[in-house]
This record gives sequence, structure tokens and C-alpha cells, in this order.
Amino acid sequence: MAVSAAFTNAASTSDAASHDPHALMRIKNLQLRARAVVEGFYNGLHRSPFHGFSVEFSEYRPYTPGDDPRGLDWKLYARSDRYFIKRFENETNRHVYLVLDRSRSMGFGTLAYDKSQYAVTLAATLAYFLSLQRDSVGLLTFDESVGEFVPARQRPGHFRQLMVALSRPLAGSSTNLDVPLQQLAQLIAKRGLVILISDLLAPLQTLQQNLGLLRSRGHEVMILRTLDPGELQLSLPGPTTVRDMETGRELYLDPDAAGEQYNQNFSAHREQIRSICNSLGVDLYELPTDQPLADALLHVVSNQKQRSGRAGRRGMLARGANRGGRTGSQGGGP
Amino acid sequence: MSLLAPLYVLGALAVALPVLFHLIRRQVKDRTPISTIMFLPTSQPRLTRRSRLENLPLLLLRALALILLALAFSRPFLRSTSTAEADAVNRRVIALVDTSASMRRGDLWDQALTQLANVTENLRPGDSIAVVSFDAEPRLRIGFEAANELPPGSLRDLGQRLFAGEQPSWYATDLAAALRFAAELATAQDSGSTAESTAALAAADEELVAPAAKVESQLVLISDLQSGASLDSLQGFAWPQQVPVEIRRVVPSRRSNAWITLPNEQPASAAAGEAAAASAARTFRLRVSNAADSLHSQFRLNWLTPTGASIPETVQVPPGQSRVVHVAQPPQGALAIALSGDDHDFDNVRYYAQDPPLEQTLLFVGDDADEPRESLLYYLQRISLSTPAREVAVQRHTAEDGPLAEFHQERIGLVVAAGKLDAQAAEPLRRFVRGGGRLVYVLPPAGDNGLAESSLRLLSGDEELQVGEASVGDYAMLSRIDFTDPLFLPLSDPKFNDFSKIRFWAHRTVEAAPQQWKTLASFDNGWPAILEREAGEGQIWVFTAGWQPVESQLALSTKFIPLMFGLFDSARADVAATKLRLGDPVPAAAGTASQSMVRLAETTSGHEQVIEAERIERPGVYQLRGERVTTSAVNLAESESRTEPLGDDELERMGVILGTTVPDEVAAQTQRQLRDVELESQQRLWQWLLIGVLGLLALETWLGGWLGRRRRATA
Repeated sequence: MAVSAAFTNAASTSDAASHDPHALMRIKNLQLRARAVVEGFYNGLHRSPFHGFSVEFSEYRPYTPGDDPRGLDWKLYARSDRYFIKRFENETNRHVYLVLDRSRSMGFGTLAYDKSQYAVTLAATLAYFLSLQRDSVGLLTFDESVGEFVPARQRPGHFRQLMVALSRPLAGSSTNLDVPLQQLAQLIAKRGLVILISDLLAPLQTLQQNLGLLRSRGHEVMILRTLDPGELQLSLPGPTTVRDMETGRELYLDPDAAGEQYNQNFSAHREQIRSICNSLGVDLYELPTDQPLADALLHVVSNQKQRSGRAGRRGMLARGANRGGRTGSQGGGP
Repeated sequence: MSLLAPLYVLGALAVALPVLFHLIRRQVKDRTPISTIMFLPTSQPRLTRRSRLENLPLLLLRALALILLALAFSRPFLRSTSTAEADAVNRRVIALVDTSASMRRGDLWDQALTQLANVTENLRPGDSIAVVSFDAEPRLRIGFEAANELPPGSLRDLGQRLFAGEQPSWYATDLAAALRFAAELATAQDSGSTAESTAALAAADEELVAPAAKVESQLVLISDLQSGASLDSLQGFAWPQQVPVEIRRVVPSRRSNAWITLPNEQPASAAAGEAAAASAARTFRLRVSNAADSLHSQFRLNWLTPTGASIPETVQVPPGQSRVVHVAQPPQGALAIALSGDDHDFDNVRYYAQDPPLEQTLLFVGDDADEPRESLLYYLQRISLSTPAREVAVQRHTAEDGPLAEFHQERIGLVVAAGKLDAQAAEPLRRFVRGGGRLVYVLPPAGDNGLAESSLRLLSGDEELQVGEASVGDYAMLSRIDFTDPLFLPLSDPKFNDFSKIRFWAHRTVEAAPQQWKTLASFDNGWPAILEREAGEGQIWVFTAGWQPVESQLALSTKFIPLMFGLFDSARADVAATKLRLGDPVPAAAGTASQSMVRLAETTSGHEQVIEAERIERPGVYQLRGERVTTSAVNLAESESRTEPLGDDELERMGVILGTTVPDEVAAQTQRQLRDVELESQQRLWQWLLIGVLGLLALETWLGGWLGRRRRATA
């Protein structure tokens, strides 16, 4: 009972944090934040209508001390009087690389936290979630050049190494998508999942080429585009002088005159990204920073489900033709 | 409303600047960071519905307060029409125009007329003008009343009309007389106008109408202000305070000037000896003077005759000095001597009347000793009383020559009698004196049985006279001398008036002299030394002591010769009276059939001119032709040749108040400014404006707080 009550309290706290980014960001420790999101996500799985939908049961394995008691299959225990952990489909040993944008543009934010904090938390959450699934998680940070690179591992202490790399402060200047993607394609030998966490506020001339390079190597690519609500809809109180956080260029701006043009340009940029991703079979999800981070986990899980539902690895192009690419700005199932 | 310091109003314009800047460009100091500007277009600031002024009432209150503050600093005041009219100041201008001979130099006359035209052109409506010309005496050309009656607009060329065709005269400059005349003319007008303005002011107070404009007098002196101008009579004249003098000086472009002075224009006693010496050397003595500011020092002299000029002779005279030069004797018929080599020729010709020397006689009558120490005649004979105009011979008449014949008045210049005179000898002398002759009687020693007394009574006809012999200790001296008498006037200069060194060993006493007797000199013991009496048309001088060494040191002193010349020259007064000067009236008889005044021509190009004017108006040689021909040389006054300019301080030293005429606009503006300052200090509108500013600021403060509270309540 006590365990159950404590579990219930912890679950309620994690639920709140996973659903409210503001509450989540008040947790100063990055690892705790990630854990709160994941735990809240798992709790949601039990209550969510998506329970058992996006995460398929794959097999049972005997319970060993240290396993999460929430994974116990109580029906099987009733039948067998033995403790077995349900092993879900996503508990497969994959190599997942988190490619995190640490440029200055990620430091923008109109909320109590900026995109970089949200993206770091998102990366930590994914790392924790994937680590629980016994996936090997690697990390590559970039701005105008490659920053941190942590090879994908799945061993004790590796998660902590990832947290250390993620905790370093924002120091980059401009955004260069070419370098990290090209370098990653060269560094990764084994096929895996590349999750790009970026705002993609950069010229897109070579994005298709770089993403295509990864896809041609057999990697799966998922883009989690983190955007601030102030970027989705230009919100300035009045005429002001704005300063580009990456280039430092200043511009006098009258929002009344520039809002419409901004929206047009932004939408065109967004459509271009979507077109690129659709053509390459890259999953693109927009994550506004005011949305719960647990939605990202749903995207990852959904991706895993779709991957497992296909008949083997039939290649990038066939997959892309069957699916027609899938993009979404919100979490959700097919 | 008018403003005393209108520039402060510009401070109110500063209110518009922040408002304007606020509307044009809302430059935000803060920079808003944004992730990227790649989606943003550049946009220019524009006024939109959103870029509007907020809190308009507060802005208006603050702007109004600033405007009132700027207005308060500009010191506004209200100027009434009456005060505007009272700014007008009418002037009475008296223009003094110099028409003396020195104005003939260069273009001085044209400059003077130009200055006069400038004065008349600057007259404003309400001003009046009088024009006075002056040389040796002032002359009113047009008075205020006559000038005011002229048609409007005709004052501008008043000078041209008054002096049309005129040239400066040949007379000297009596500047003092002209200034006094003009000052008295101005004060006479001011006293009348003051009464008028006082009455007008009283009437204005009663009827509340605008007061009459003030009247100011102004003298404008247009002259070359040469140093030869006479200023003496200004001493002691109290210059009126309200009559300033503005000097409009005319200056010649060239200033070198030299002139000649002839011997007959110099004191005869000083020149006689030198003239005699020159005559003996067959040269003619004259003096050449050069002005101090002259640039030339070498001049040429030559005689002018109707038949031609003589060969010029060169003389050197440094600037500021004069030289006595000896030139050749004047040729026959020479009427003038001319100087050349300076810049101005108005005074270069000096006219010379070559009358034949008048033969005259100094007659000594009476006893005289042979011993020179005891002889009166001896020392008379040693005096050369001759001058170029006369030849004086000393003759003696003794008893052996028989009775005295009737004297010819013009031939006997002076009779000196000495010793005893009986009735037979005295009677002709008495008739001579009554007829206009001059007699000097030297009293003999009184110890001769009263002969001195009887002789004096016979000569004078005064029986009351008593003559005695004075008791002289060591010696007697002359103590009291009447230097105002023409006999001693030439010796009145302190350099010459010391007679104390002349000692008299013996002298007579004369008492009980009637009132007709005048004591010209007295001894230190109180007895008269020289007495004078007019008898009929002549004069008698009585010396109570002789001048011979046995009685005194007079004959051996330096005073003897001037005394004798004075006695002899006084006898020539009637002759001298026939000499003419500039400005003298032409004798009444001239112009008749029996007598005519003619001006002789001094050059070959000239011609004789019969004078029909009433006065001698130009230099030249004039002949009065009648029964007797009298020739007179009329020359320019030497003072007119001293052309160095006078300083303005000379006039100030004489008490003249100098003042520059302020241009009309400046004067009116100055007067207006003073009145404006006074009005503003009385009205003090700035105080009310400051109170308004404080009120507006209080209202703004209250309104700002009320609006802020309402905004917070709404939030």
C-alpha cells in the first residue's frame, strides 16, 4: 500500500510535469526532468487511450530485482504465480543518435524558458526513455560546427555522460546543418535512428542533400522541430528594433506592417521543410515549446510501431513511397 | 503685445520637437532579440493608428506651460498708441557753413555743399532747419520760419538754392562769433518751444490726448576748422547745455600751404631798421611762412606787374617755420609778389602798394645844449624814423631862425619843443596842435624863474598848471604806466614792459592839472612823468624829465626808440586811416564823377576794374582817384593762411559741447527701447505668466496622478 501510495504520488507529480512544460522547467536537475517526463509518459500509457496501441507487446521476460514493477504482468502472475515483465516492442537494441542544435537561435524564447532549455530537456528525455528500452543512445551537438559527440552506447554511466554533455551552456553562434549531418553520416557505421532536434532556422539549400545522405546509409531520420510560440506567430508589442541572435544584425520592425510578410515567409519555409522530409521519408514533428514533452515520446513510439509493422527493411524509397512521408506538428497516432 | 526680449520666444518652439520626433520615429532604445530575421522584411517607420500620441491632455498641458514660460522670459508688454506717438523727437538743426577764404582750397567748397545737402536730406518730418554762413561775421541765410514755409520736399536741395553760384569769400574766419550767433539762435528758439511744449503737455494732461513730441536743437558745423580761425571771444561764453555741436569737417586732399608777409604788415618799429638795411642793400625784405603740416619746403617768389612777372627766386622754408628772405627790389610798377610751390594758391599773392615815401619832418623847437649828454636833439637825430612809406627828416628851429611859420600838418609829423617858450613862439605851436598836430614838450628845469611853468601854460592854455622841480634823492624810476594808452600799448608785452631799469636823476613836478590832462606814466615818488592832453584836433605830450643822460637814462634805454616811434606814428593815424582793408566800405565819394575806386590789374591777363560794390570784397591793389590818388594794397588776413586743422578738443576747451548726430533710425529706436523698458517694468506681465505656468504644472501633476490611478484600477 505504501509502495502503491508512493507510486501514486510520484506518478501524479510526473504527470503534472510531463503535461506542463512550465512546471517541468522548474525542475532544475536535467536528469530529474527527463525522468519526470518519461514516468509521466508511462503513467499515461496506462490510462491513455493509446495504451497498448502505440506500444506493442513483444514478449515476457522474467522479473529481476531492479526492474520497474509497473512492467509486471499481473494476469500472468495470476496464472503462473511468477513475476514476468512485459517486454514491449520498442525494447529493442537500436542505435539512436540525438542531433541537438545548440546554436544561438535556440536561445530565443518568449516563455519562461527558451528553446534550448526545452530542446535539452527533450534530448535528455529521449535519452532516458531510449536507455530504458535498452537502446544505445548517442549525442551530437552542433551550431556552426560540431560541438559534443558522444557515441551510442548502452552501458552503466553512459546516460550520465549524456547528461553532462547536454548540461553544457549554449555557446554557439550561427546554425550550420550541413556539418553535423555529414559528419554523423561518416561516424555512424551501424544503421540506426537519427533524431534531429533543431529549430531549422537556417537556409535549406543543402538540407535535402544531407538528409538524403543519411537515408541512403539506411538510417531513419526523425526531425523534432522545436519552435517558440513567438516564432510561430510574430508577436511584438509594437514597433521595435530587433536583433538577430545569431548574426547580430539589427532591424527596425513595425509588427503591423511586417506580421503578414513574416507569416508568409515562415509558412513557405515550413512547407519547404515538409516537402524535403516527405520526399526523403523523414518524419517531421513540430514541437512548440509550450507543448508537453511527452508528445515527443509518443512520436518516437509511433515511429517504432510503424517501423515494426513493415515487412522488414525494404529500403528507404519503398518505405517512403508506401507511407508518403508523415509529418505532424502534434503528438498523435496514425 | 510687444516683446522686450523676443528671442526667448524661440524656446517655445522646442515644445514641438519632442512631439515631432515622437511621431516621426519611435526609436526604441532597447533591442529585442529574435531567433532569426530571415522571415522579416525591412520596414520604414510610419504613423499608424497605433503610433499615436498618448495622454494628449497631459501633453497639451505641458506644452502650454512651456510656451507660457518662454513667453514670460521674453518680457511682454502692451504698448499704447499714445506712447508710440510720444517717441517722436523733432529736431531744430542749425547748419553753420564756413565761407571764409580758406574754403577756397581744393574742393572744400564742394565738400561743404555736399555736407549741407546731407544734413537737409536727413531731415525728418517735424524737423526744422536754419542755415547760417560765416566768415569774418555770421550771416543768417534762412531762418526756421522761412524754411518751414518752403514747399514740402524742397528742403533737400536747400543748400544748392541758397549758395547757387557762390564761392567762398576772401574774409578771415571768426569761428567764435559764428558759434555764439548760432547758439543764441538755438536757445532763443528753444526757450520759445519749451514754453509751447509745456503748454501742450498741460493741455494733454487735461484732455487726455497724446503729448507733443519733444524738440531738440543741434548745431552742425561745416568747416575746415583751420587753426587761424578766431576762437578768442568764446572764452567766457557759457555754452548752452542743450545745444550740442556736430562737426562736419571738410578736409583737402593736399595740405601743403605757404604764404608771404610783407614789411608794411609787420610792426614798423621792428621792421624799420631791417627795412632800411634791406633798402641799402637794394633787396626787398619779406617773410615766408610754411604750414606745420606742409609737405613742401621749397618755394619760388616772383613779382607780378601788369607787363609781366619777374624771374622767380627760390627760397627754402621748412614746415612749421617762417623765414625772412631778401628778394630783389620790386620792379617798376610791381603790384604783388607771388609764391608758388605749395598746394593751395588762394593766399599766394601778396599785394604791394608802392606809394612814394611821404616826406615828413620831425621839428625840434627850442633851446638845446651842444653837449650830447645834455642835448635832447642829439638823440632824436640818432633815431631813424624813416620807413618805406615815409622819409622823416629831423629839423631844428631856433630863435635865430626867426618866428615859426605856419606848419603844414601833413609835412610836420611831430614837433618836439624844449626849453622856454615865449608867447611868440608858443602861439604857432598852439595853432599847430589845435589844427591836428602832435607836440611833445620837454619841461626845462623849473629853476629858471618859472619859465617852465609859463611855457607850459602858454602851450596848453591851462593857467592852473604849476610846475616845480622835484627833489630826487639818488634817482627816480617809472612806477606806474598806462599800458592801455596807444603810446605804451606796443610795450605792454611782459617782455617789454619793464621800465624799472630807467633812472631819472631830475624831473619837474606838475600839479593842479585840469581833468583834460591824462597821466600816462608816473614816477615812484608819485609825480607824473608823461602827461597827455588833447587840444583841439591835436595832442600835447609833456615830459617832466628830459631823455638826455644828464637827466635820465631814457635815451639810452631800449624803450626810447619805440616811444618815439609811438609818438610819431600816432601822428600818422589819419594817414593810416586812408589805408583800406578787406570788408572796408568803399569811400562814399567813390563812384562819382570826381572820384572813383579802381582795382588795378597785377598781371598781364588782368584789367582794371572799377569798383561799384559797397565794400572791398577781394584782395588787390586799389586806387582811390580824385584830387589825390591814394593807392592801397588790400591783402588776405594772415590768419587765413594758417591752414593746419584745429582739433575738436580746441572747441571743447572753449566750452563748446560736441555731439554726434545720431542717425534718425538709431535715435528713434533708442528712444523706443528706453520707453519699452519702462513700460515693461511697470506692467510686469511676466509675473502673471509665471503664475499661469505654476497653475498649469499643478493641473498637469493632478491630471497625471489621476490618469495613473485610473490606469492601475483598470489593470
